Amino acid sequence: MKRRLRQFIFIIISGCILLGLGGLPGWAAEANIQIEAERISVGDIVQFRIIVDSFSGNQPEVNQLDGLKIDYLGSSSSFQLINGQRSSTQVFTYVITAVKPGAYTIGPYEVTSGGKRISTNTVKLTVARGSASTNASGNSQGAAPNPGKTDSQLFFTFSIPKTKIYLGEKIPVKFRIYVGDVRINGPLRSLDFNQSEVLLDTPVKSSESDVTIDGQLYRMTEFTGTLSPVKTGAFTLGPAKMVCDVMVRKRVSSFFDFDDGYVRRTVQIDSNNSAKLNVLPLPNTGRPAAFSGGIGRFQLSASAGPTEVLQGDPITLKMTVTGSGNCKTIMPPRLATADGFKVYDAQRKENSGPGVNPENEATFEQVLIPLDPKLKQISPLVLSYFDPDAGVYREARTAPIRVTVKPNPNFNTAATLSGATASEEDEQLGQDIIYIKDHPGQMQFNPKPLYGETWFWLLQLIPVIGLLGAFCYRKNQELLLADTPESRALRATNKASQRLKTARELKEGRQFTELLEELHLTIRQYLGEKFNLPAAGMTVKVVEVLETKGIPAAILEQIKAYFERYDYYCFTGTTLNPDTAQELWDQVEGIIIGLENWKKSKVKSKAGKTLSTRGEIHGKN
Amino acid sequence: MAKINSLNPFQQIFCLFIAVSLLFGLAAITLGEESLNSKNLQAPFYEANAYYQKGQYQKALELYLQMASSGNISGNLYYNIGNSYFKLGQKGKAVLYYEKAQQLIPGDADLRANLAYVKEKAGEQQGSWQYQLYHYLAYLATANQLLVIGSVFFFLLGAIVIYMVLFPKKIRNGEDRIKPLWFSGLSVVGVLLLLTVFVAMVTIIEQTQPRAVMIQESADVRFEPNSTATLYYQLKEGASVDIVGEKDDWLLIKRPDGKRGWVEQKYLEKI
Repeated sequence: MKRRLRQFIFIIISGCILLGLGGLPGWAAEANIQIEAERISVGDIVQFRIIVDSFSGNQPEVNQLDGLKIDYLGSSSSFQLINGQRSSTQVFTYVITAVKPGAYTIGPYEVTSGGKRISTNTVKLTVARGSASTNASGNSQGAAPNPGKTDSQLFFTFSIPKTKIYLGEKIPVKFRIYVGDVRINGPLRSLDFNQSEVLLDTPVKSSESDVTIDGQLYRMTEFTGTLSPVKTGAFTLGPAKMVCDVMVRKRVSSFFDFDDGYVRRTVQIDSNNSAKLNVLPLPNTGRPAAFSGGIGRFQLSASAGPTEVLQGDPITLKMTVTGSGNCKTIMPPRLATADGFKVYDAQRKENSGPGVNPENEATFEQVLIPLDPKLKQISPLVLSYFDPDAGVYREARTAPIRVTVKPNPNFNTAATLSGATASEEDEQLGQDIIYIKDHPGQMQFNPKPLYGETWFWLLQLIPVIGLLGAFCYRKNQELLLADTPESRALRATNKASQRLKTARELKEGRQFTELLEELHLTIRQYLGEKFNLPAAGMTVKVVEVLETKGIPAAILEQIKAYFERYDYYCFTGTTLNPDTAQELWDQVEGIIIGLENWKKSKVKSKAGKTLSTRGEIHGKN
Repeated sequence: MAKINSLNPFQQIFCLFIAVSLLFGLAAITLGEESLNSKNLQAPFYEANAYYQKGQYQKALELYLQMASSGNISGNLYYNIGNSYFKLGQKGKAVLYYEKAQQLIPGDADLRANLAYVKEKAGEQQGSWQYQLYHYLAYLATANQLLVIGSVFFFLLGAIVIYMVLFPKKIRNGEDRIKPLWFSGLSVVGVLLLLTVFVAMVTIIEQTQPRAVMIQESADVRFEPNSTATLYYQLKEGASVDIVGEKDDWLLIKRPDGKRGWVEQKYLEKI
């Protein structure tokens, strides 16, 4: 209630001031024409205003000009009170629609100011041919789309210069937002296509004007962005999507409704149009090996400094690529030939400073070390890029840069001074490859790898076989050394052999008594160890025991005969003579050989039996 | 001699058997590296070197290649072929022959330097440290050299074990434990054998892995084996890659950094 009262008082006071001070003369009597743009294209719309201080009288008479269509939009007035001095300003607004190209002069117009007739200034307007950037009537010209739907108070369109483009190419896209009886509050929340096929740089506001479409006045704001396709193929671009906050005029319910008259709403709207886009891959034909990845139209410039150096001193080469295209991702230009230089990798430099647009300019720096004092120039720089308008690969080249390289007597020393770093640098520099080999080396005829040779792997079995043999030998040794019936049986033959040898020596030495005892000991120990029998006190009765072991009767007879003969010589006291000694020795040897042979034949027959049993089993199977 | 005589006949025969088999093994391995070093066979090599010296790289290359096509090859021959190709501006072919030479003279410092330089010029991608370590081990020595060394260690280990089996008392001290010297010897030889076998296996795996070198200026590597498939990356001349698959005229390749893609066979030459 208080607010309404304040507004009411303000209106009353304002009215009093107007009524009371309206007739007083102002400080200045001046009339000016202001125009929004001095160069437009056919079909474009531009607004101009006639601003009159201390206006009185009628609306100025504005005549139509041939080639232009001038429409009166309306007027507005304002009052100012500064340091007790009052002034008033009247603004008359017109909109010009360019119909024909040409140069036009707007004004002068006569108006009444401060009770006097005065003339306005003049302004120049140039209308060029070509596509319109805006269109008051909504007719499509050039690349501008028809706004189409005009019943809405807020709508927008977009336009692209062409529909057949190459992968990675950057094309401008213009968005025109038409605002009627609403007001956009703050910046746009978003303006994009939201499509995976394209990437859009954030559009920026480029111009603003009033346009009349179907008799309704709109405020048209143009945004410009850059579009780049990331997939090949044909698809529909759009509709674009815009999200913004708008202030919608509220309907006034009564004269005393002093609300601000607007409500805020967040709206998302689609563009009125869409476009068919055909994205082509870059052609393989004619693609240079050193293609920089640049797609667009580029110019190349280069400078070097210092241009007078000592051999081995660095020269910084600065390269600038300008043009329309993907400057941000383009690769650095390359030297046509780098002979005589040590070349470091080019480094991209951040573009900053007034008047530099990183979208349209890329700067690189590259360090060159002149190695040859005879060098006179840096070779031309070359940038291979793809021109999407012509559909071909092109090259941008610079002129060679003249340099003066003076001999440096310390150059070689300097190059080898810094140890590992220097050697690494030399390697990177890679002046040339290392010279050829003087000798052919080890010649081979269709060499085969060892791992493919069977004999090599068979050879590796030798240590394995050796090891197995060693184990067997060790086992055998352990067995012989052990005091078991089996080991004694194994040792028996060798021992008997040794004893027979001793007995022979006794026989040859005619020591017959010792011979008799030695032979008896031999046979007793042999039989005892071989058949696990007690050797001490062994008599002829041992034959009965041996009979149970399955020993052939002939051998048993020999054993029996030996024991009887031994008893005869032992108990009768008869001494041996050389002949009987030989007979006795032969008898003992015969027994041992007979038993050994019998053992062997027994083992063989056992093995034979096992084999025949296996054969029978296999036969049955 | 006295010690040998103190052994029983069985032990003497056994020791003799080990010694003979060791000698036989080494001799057989040495014979396996059959050399063909007659002057007649080597004459074209020196002739080609003379042409190279005069800067007539094409003539030198023809002679080197003629020699290689007869089946008589060496690491140095491949090295010189690589140099000739490089001088003629064919980086891809140069890398191809350097790679071939590397299989015969892997430790050659000149070869390593030239190969690294040409690959650097070709802009080849560096692999991960694991790849570089694997590559270093794979080209430490030839597979044959490693197998011979491994074989010697194996025989040595066998001889030590056999000795330990045959003479258990000599290798043990009073407490019935193996003497430290014998234990250390056995451990060292065993570890060396394992290391040699490991490196030999890496080398053999690397040498049996099909590989190829890019011999054209550049080639597109795609996600699928057809020319309309999405481009993955570009392969530059001199890049060496592993071949991991094949389909019609396309090869599935793997770059040192592990990126796999399909490329037309005509751009590559197998090592």
